[in-house]
Amino acid sequence: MSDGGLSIRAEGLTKAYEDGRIRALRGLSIEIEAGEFAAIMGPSGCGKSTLLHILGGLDRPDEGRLLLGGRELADRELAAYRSGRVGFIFQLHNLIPVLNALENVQVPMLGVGGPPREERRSRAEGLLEAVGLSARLRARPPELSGGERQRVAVARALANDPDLVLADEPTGSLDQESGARILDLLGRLQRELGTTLVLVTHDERVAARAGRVLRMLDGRILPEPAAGG
Amino acid sequence: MLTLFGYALKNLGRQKLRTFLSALGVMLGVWLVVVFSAVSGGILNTVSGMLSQFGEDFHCYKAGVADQFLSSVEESRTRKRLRALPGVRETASVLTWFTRIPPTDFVVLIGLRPGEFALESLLSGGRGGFSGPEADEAIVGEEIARRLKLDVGGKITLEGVEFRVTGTFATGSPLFDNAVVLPLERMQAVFRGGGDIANYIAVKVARGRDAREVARSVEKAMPDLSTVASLEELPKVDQGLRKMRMWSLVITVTATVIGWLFVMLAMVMSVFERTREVGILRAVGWTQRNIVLLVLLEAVFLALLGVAAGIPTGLLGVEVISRITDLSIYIAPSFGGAIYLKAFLVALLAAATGGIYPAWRAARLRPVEAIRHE
Ligand SMILES: Nc1ncnc2c1ncn2[C@@H]1O[C@H](COP(=O)(O)OP(=O)(O)O)[C@@H](O)[C@H]1O
Ligand SMILES: [Mg+2]
Repeated sequence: MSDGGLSIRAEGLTKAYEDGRIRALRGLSIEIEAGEFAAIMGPSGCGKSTLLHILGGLDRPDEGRLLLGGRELADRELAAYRSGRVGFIFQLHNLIPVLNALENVQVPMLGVGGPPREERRSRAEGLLEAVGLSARLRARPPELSGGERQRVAVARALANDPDLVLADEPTGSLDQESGARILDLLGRLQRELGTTLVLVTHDERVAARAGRVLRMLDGRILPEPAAGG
Repeated sequence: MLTLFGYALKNLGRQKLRTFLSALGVMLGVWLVVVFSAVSGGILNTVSGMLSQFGEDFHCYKAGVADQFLSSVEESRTRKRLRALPGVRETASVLTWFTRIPPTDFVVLIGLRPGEFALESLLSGGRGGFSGPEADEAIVGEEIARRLKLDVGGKITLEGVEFRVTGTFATGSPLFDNAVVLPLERMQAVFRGGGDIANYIAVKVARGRDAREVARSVEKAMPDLSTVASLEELPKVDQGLRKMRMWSLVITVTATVIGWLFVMLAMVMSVFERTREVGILRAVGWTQRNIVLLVLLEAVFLALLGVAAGIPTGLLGVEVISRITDLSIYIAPSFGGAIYLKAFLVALLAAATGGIYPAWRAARLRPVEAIRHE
């Protein structure tokens, strides 16, 4: 089990697309403590996914300083960072359609140097049990409900025992009840495992569960209202 | 239990029709290799068997001919000179001719002289013989005897002349067992206008002598002759064999290219459809190398499917071809392990080359763009 979360510290991040015509991040700064649950809110297109991808080592900022766990990562460290320290949950189409739930959860462990077969399997079973899907191990994504699919995605995000879980609108396509269930689950896992959790959402009720709500606009994080103010 | 292998296999099951069609492409390549190799291997077996059919050490052909069957040497003078050379123990003249006995297409006629080692060697695996050097008599191979329902005492008409069957033989070589043997001089008179002609002279060397050395001294003393002791030397008097090597290369390359094309097209499509999935894999920690491995593995499985389907159908193809043509009269298709190895390697090469480009494309996808792809 992980012995705590990952701290994030970024200053002046910029990211532009299409030769600079689209400026997704415009000097964004953010600070998240290890083990914190932070929700990020903001209008569509303000750069939330871009930020999450950068925090998860899927992409690089054009400029700025980014410390993950107190360190700046080199390009060649990113794959190991993604596989060893980060778990990703997306809004839709998270899963591999030809693989069943049990297999999907094992996908992150398949890379070279992953755990041996037996361990992969028992770990995946344990995780699916933790998300309440013990009865659906053999079901493939098309046979699962939206909520069940996201629970598999949560289990998969935890497969490599990450220090940071990044969730990009994980309940955006779910009905209230299933969404609430996913959030309960994420919240509980975050508390129990001490993982840092950064969750992007449009939903104020979702954000309310987070320890902290960060608001984004036009590629920047807005200043937080002073505590108690 | 999930493994990379299992995942790759399941990916092939996604688009079954596409997988089937591209495996069919690989199969076509495998098929070409199997059919061509079996047939050309059979030809080589027949030809190399011919070179020592009578227990001889080498053949002397007319130098410079384009095909061994077009060689003609002046028989009596050549043999006299050959016998005078040290190291030559025995010589025998062999004359070949092709004719037609309805309903068969082709029959090989072989003229051998009674008393010479060639005919004796043949009859040691048979019965009967010739009553004299110019008798209107024929000795028939067991295959042609079976096909034409001939036996000792029967009659056979060749280009207007009637021959009586006075013997049969069996060699195990399809070419010889489908041949009719006539007395050499009678054959010269009927088919070669009475000329003093043989196709080649078979030579046995004296005990303790090195056949190649003797052959070399023959060529030195008689520059109008080419000696052939083994299959490797046959191209000296046979362009066809030289061409066969080239054809073998052409077929192998063609088969590989066909397999390559099918594998590549299938995998490019497959990778494109899975763009987002590749992004997800990268997001959960897969390296570019993992992605390459997955795609290559899928390509290899495709090729193995092609091999699995191509080898049995290839064998069937050879069988059908030798039934509907008169191929089996000349050769027994050869199905040595080398053929399967070659077919397997061709398919594997097709998979590797066909898989590389799509694998590279998949690995090169930028994860964030792949994830945004719908
Ligand atoms: N790979 C990309 N290529 C081009 N434009 C992009 C790319 N990724 C994001 N964008 C653009 O950058 C802006 C921010 O996108 P995104 O981070 O996805 O916003 P959000 O998640 O807040 O909706 C949008 O205008 C989006 O169209
Ligand atoms: Mg987004």
